[in-house]
Amino acid sequence: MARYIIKRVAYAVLTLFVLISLTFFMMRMLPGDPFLGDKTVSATTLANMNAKYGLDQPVFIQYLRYMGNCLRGDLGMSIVYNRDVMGIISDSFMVSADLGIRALLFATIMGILLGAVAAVKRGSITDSFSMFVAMVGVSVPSFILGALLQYFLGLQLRKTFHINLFPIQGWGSFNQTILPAFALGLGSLATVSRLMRTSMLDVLSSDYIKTAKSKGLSQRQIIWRHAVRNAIMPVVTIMGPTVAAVLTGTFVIESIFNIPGLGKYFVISIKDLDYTMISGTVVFYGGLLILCTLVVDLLYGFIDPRVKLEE
Amino acid sequence: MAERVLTIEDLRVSFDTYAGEVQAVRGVSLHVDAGEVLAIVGESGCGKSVTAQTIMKLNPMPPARIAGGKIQLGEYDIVAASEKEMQKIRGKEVSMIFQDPMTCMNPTTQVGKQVIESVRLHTKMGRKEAAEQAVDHLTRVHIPNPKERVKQYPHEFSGGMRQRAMIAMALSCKPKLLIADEPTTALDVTIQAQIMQLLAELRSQMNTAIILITHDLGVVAGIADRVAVMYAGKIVETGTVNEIFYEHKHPYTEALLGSLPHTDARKQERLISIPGTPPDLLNPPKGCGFAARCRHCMQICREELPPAYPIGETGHASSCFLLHPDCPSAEERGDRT
Repeated sequence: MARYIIKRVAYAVLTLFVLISLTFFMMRMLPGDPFLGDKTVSATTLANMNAKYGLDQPVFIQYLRYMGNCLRGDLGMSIVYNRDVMGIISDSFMVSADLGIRALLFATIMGILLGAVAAVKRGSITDSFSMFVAMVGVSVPSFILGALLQYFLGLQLRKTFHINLFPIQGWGSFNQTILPAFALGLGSLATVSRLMRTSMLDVLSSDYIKTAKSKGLSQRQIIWRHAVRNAIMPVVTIMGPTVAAVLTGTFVIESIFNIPGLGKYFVISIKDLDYTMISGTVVFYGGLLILCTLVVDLLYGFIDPRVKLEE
Repeated sequence: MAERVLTIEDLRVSFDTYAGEVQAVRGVSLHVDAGEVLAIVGESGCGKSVTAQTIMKLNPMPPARIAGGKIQLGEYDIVAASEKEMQKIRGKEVSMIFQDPMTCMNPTTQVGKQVIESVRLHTKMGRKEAAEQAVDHLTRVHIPNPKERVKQYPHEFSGGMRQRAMIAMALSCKPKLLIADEPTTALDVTIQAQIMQLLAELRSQMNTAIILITHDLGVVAGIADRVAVMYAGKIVETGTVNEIFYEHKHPYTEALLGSLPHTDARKQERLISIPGTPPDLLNPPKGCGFAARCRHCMQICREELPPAYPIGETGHASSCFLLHPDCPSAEERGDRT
């Protein structure tokens, strides 16, 4: 187990290295520079600014210097905000994580429940309903869903019924989290519930469920003690990609709902060519994703005793 | 006389499918006494597993449906019992072991927990006592190192071991009746012998009645007291092991035994098979189900169902018009050979 984790961490460092290098050179290939604003700046100021952020050096030297700083845990100063990138990430990520975890919990818990119920009551109205929800979730992109939610539940509800339950933007109160978390989570909920339904149907027709029934267990006991744990395996497998989907989803959702999270900074920093901010967020998100995948793999071995993590 | 454990009278089970009603079991009557082994033999699809599963109502209903008949298990009327009552009966009064031990255990639960699950369910036993009992149960089916084995998962067991664990599981509540649905089909020959020996041993220890469903006549000869031969949803002949093997009267029983390979057969000799296929139970034949494949088939066999003709006093009976007192002799009929 320990050896396995060490090996995985080594791979993670390598992946991060490649990720940083690729991002670094790709953003330098983009036309323009961070100081290309509406205000005309004098040549001397520009030269001074470039010197301050080390942008006057050859690109390769800049790359080596950036790598060195990264190794020391220093992601540099944001060119646009003139603040420590690490500081911005740690402030704004809390908001993103809050939103992401809400969406993730909503997606997995509701997804597993809907999928399991749909399988157990196969062919019933509940089944049709949850599969309809799943279909909508898969086919409607989150930004469209977000806009529709804002219009109908936010605006129209307030205008016609004078119910001001769902604020359409901002962050802070619980009510403000409902719409974005729903819009962010529905796609993943759809994937999870469809997967859970298929897997549950598979498990329910297996021999050991018949064994359990022959022991005198009730339908409920069979489902909770024998079926769910086995059926949940494929869902655990896609938790890695699901976390990724939710993380990247925050970029869009945070912009639509004007939430001061890291996703919003990430999008803006690309528009502004804020070099340090771009690479900082990429490194952060990359590391986070790698960590999530590792946790999921470890979890897999924990739930299914047949999975050995040694090789 | 031993206590009667199970009586089935004229049981009919149908499956409602899109194509129509499939009459899987068409009037089966049988009985089992305490400590007795009744073997139900017949080819695939003859209704032997459906009969057995209906005793525990394990077939999903719908599509399965008990179309008629009576099942009396001890004091319980199974046909009338509700699902709640069935849950009390399953595992406690009657339990079952299945064909493929590789897929019959939950892969994510420890073997000991699975073995003791029905005891805990039916007696409300505490966790600690249950854990100790699980070890005893595994010891009884001769699983070595039971203390370590209870904590292991099914994938750490071999096929034979899993079947032993399944037997331990099935007998954990000391049921009056054990249904073994082809318990050795998925195992290799040496393990088969061990499992059958274990069943025989436990039967005499615990006086449990066993219904053994199989198409392996060798297994039947070794353990069964009585045999019921099934064909196309009906029992065509029933009797003691010796009666079925040496004094059988039904052409199907004869053909079934005739298709057994002989150890003294010459190498080039082809195995004998019964020509034709069983009838489609979606549209069962009016007369005897075996008529179309029978060498002795007469006009009446295609038109009327043969009743069970008793032979002697021992319970030997055969459903064949050849046993009718007015039946012409073989020469007069001009049988095909």
